Amino acid sequence: MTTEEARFLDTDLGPVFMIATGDESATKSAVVCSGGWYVGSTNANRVLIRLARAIAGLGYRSARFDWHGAGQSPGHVERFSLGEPFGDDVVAVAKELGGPTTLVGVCFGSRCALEAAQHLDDLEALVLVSFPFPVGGTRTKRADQLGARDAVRSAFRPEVVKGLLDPNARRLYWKWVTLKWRAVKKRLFPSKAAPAKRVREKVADQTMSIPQLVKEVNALVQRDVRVLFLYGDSDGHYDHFAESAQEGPLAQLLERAGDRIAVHPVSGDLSGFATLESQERMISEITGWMAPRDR
Amino acid sequence: MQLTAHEHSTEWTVEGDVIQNAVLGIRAEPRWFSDGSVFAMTHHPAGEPIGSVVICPPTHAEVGRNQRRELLASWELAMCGYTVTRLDYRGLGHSVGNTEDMSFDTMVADVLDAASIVRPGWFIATRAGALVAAAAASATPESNLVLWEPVESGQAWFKEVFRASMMGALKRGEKGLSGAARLAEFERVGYIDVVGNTVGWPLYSSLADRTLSRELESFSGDAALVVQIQQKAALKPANEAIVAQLTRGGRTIEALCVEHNEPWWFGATPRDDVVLASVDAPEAITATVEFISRIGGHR
Repeated sequence: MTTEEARFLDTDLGPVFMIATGDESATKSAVVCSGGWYVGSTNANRVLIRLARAIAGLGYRSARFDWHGAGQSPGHVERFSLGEPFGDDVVAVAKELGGPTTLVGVCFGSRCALEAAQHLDDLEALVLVSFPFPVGGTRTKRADQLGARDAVRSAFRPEVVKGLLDPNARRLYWKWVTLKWRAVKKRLFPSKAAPAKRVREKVADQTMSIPQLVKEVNALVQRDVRVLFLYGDSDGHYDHFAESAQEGPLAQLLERAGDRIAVHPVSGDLSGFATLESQERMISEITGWMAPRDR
Repeated sequence: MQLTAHEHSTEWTVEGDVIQNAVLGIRAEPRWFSDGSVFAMTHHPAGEPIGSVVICPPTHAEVGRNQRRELLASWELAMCGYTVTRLDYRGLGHSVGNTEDMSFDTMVADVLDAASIVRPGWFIATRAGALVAAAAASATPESNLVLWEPVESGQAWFKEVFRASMMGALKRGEKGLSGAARLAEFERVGYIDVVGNTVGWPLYSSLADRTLSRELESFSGDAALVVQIQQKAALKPANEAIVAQLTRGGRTIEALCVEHNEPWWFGATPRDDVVLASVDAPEAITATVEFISRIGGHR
């Protein structure tokens, strides 16, 4: 019954388990990259299997795979770092499928897809879902970067309090307050656990800088690769992206690129797929964006 | 047994569609059962197998919480000479079908279909998979059971499901339905959204009234291990009752408490200040491999 082909693939970091879907004679391919932190290729509620199958329905040969050390792939991963993306896994799967390729990455997977994109000559398009956007360089400071007085002032601004009638705003507000509370607690009761601190220091600059991101995406645009940034408006990274898209190097890139870069914000949260609605929205946005190229 | 060392092994090589590890002496082969509807991964020992094991995973969000534990258990058992097959029920994982259409009956049918081919002497099952495995083991003479954190009944499992659903709704700033109104809505729509997981009405209507105790009434095996994975040093009453029910006629029935709080429905939030571990509660694996190796189970 199934038209899916399950197999292991050799990569430099060890075998990777992949499942290819769709017509073997398809002229285009797509690789779907899941999130990190031991999330298998299915992701929540098998949303990425549904996405891979929907993309195959557009005429692509699509594949999903488990990162080395996760899901069915053997190996061992001690930590997933945005500063150390698994681009090699993505490149191996893409080369296995061949043909003009579209990479679709979710969260950590989008960081890996961007990394892999630099190494694929026949890349046609790149879809970055809930891309972990750099926080540096934005005008608005995060809660944990504000002083206590400024934080309290911000928290009780009339427009902020009024906005709490909206459930989404309430959720973000609570997240913001929690972040601030953690920062205060950290300052008052500093941790003495040396190993944890060491890891934290490494993690501090995991996300790429905005100039680096702009440089890499610009290089793709120069190669005529189409890029889609897809965010849920409740995603933690979306605010930073939206703000940076207003002015500065990212804004200039978006202006220059014209329709080669699309930015699609949808309502909800795409970083954790915490609702069925957000999952359906993501699938529909991506297939909608990929479909016209086939028509 | 050195789980970490085995997980670190870099001796895997790809040959065709399978991988093998010459050092551990095992190979893994993806396969499809039920006319290509049910995806499974079978781990083979290097030599002639001394027995066969089928792993019945949990369902929905719980799958991800247990998958790596099941994989490492498969490796360890294959190293001890067993062929181990772990499947995805239709509607879940890589298998075909829609999640909202799966039911207790389709899950049992999937397991029995695979069992008719691999002829297991053991079923290892987790959470609601325990009810499935109990039904499958009862239909498979002389097969034995290992149950990881089994749910005592469909009702108990759905109580947790509804609680998770309610928490998800609250987190989104919604009120959420409860009681009879929730059930009526569930039946009307055909599924509910449980923190981003599709739980279908066919599963509710086929599972809610089942109990592990009843599914085990026809169990004819001679050994079972119950592994409780909870932040408790003693067995909870429901597990004590299962052990008591099974302990008769010279059977070898054992129980183990692994003190670990597994967030089955809520994936652990990635934290940037800890080095992550790919598998929690490894004691469950160690105890299972030791128990199966000690009892045997040739078919």
